[in-house]
Amino acid sequence: MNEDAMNKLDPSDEELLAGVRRRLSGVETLVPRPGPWDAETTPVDRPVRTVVRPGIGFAGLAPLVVVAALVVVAVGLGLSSRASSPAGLSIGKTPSGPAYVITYRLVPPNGGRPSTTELEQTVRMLALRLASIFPVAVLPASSPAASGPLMPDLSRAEGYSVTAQAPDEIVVRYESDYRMDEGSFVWDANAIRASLGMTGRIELVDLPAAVYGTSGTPGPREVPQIGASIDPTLPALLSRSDLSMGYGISSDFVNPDVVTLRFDFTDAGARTMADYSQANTGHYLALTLDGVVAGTTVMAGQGRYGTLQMTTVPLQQVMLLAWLFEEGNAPLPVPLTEVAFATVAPPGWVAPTGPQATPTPILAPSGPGYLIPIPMPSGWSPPVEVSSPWVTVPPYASPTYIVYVVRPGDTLSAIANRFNVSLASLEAANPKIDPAGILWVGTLLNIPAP
Amino acid sequence: MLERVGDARVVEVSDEAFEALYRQRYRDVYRYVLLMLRSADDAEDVTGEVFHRAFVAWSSGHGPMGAQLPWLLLIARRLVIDKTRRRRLISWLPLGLLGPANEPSAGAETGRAEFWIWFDRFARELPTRQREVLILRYQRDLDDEEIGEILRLSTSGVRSLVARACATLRRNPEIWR
Repeated sequence: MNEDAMNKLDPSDEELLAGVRRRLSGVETLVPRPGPWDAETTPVDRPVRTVVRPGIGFAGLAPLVVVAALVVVAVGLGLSSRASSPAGLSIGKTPSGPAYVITYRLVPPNGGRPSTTELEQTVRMLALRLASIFPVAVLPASSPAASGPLMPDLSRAEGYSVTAQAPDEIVVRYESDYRMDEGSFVWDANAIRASLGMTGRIELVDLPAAVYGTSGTPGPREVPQIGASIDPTLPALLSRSDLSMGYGISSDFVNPDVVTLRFDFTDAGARTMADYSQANTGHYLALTLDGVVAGTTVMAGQGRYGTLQMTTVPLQQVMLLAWLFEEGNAPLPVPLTEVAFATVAPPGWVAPTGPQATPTPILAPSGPGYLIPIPMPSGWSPPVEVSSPWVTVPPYASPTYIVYVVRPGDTLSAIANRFNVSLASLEAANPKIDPAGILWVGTLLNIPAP
Repeated sequence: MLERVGDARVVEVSDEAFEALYRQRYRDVYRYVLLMLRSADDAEDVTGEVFHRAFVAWSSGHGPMGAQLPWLLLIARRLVIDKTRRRRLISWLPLGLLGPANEPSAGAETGRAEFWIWFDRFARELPTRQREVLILRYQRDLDDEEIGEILRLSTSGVRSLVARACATLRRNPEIWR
């Protein structure tokens, strides 16, 4: 064999690497030139506090447990059977019940019409935001004894669609087999509006020891629970730009509804955290989403560098937070204003008046209802009246349940006292707890209305 | 070299210096991220984030202790890993709605498509770490020690990874010919 043939059979490492380098150089046409660098416009995620309407955030979500299986089933059954336009997204089986139809108009700040891309981006973001509340079950308010995570009834369907209507409108349609007065997986039109308006601002807030005490010594004020609004004057210790997602979800054997959310910090965040934790061991920290507490933890003296464990977070919240990290914090490309709201009769249902095939706009907002940055003005409630016997749109109500996370030292009777409910009703609302009354730290308790 | 010892601070640097770094190294970072994530959209986002984080670190006095490119690539690598993990998590959220699939070759010009076809093959045959070390080696101004810092390996660890990659390549001549 001559030398050439030998080389072909057994190329040297250099030849191999040179060959790869030559082929890899094909990537150069795919690599763009840098755009202009502008440190001023680089988003520095410093928190600006806004106050959200109580009840929007986790106050609503806390009692809810998502059933991931539903998502799979819904996607599996739904998407194939349901037509959607290229710019529209929908999920779920086709329901046969009444529907809410909310029409939004895109209002570019400088006037004019939104581009097709903006329209499509907005559709996608609205659909993503709806996805965060869609597969959610709630407890019927009337039967506190039926507590625990409610399995969605898969024989009944609900779903939503988000459709672009050129040139500048987006139609959000939510429909359900459920009659609106009988309870549903998704609460009502305002819950949908609130979800669409979430900004997804995630922050870690230190709860000062002088006010909230430390893990051993209670302070003058209670540590806010999941779902409570955080004192808006407290500065954020860290915000989303300091956290790089903690996806670590591990279920808790004691309470399978509780999962652990682990945050990893960026270098800068970890440094802040390390400095901070040394001086503030035992402080409570709140993780907030849009100013609503999504979880609390205690500052450990020397935790694992760069990470923070948030336990006692329901799976729904973890999924939602994961999603918000990915997409939710981005503002909508173009501000929206609500231009029409309608309830629509399902096929086969008889409504006395009004066309049924096409949505009837019955509500015009009184002011500009921009969804970003603040979802809804406080106390806003839709002046909706539908003159048909089959549907009533319930006013937005606070959730019936408070969910309390058991902390060290708690007893059932102490909790019952604190929330001003009887021990018996507390036990009735929580059939899953140990009959001997033993509580586990981190267990979620449903607190019935007093 | 990249590990910060104690509270050492680098000398205060100006925004202009960072801008120069950005201009000089944007394509290097983008290329690495693109090849690791194989999605132009993600590459753009992640590269932007890399420079954003670098800028924040830089302006708070936590710039690179040694060479700049390995520092940037180390940031990039963490974000790439983050992104990959998140993709996995997101894949079981009800978000088949996340938009068009990441198919860089779709609709692109023929040359680009050819590159991605080749790269798919390359990625299929070489395990991630071997692939990554070759992608970093493509960057001519990184030496093995710096690659080791990025991959958290010793210099000899990098070399043995290259040697294993070469063995894989030898079995698959269509990748390098």
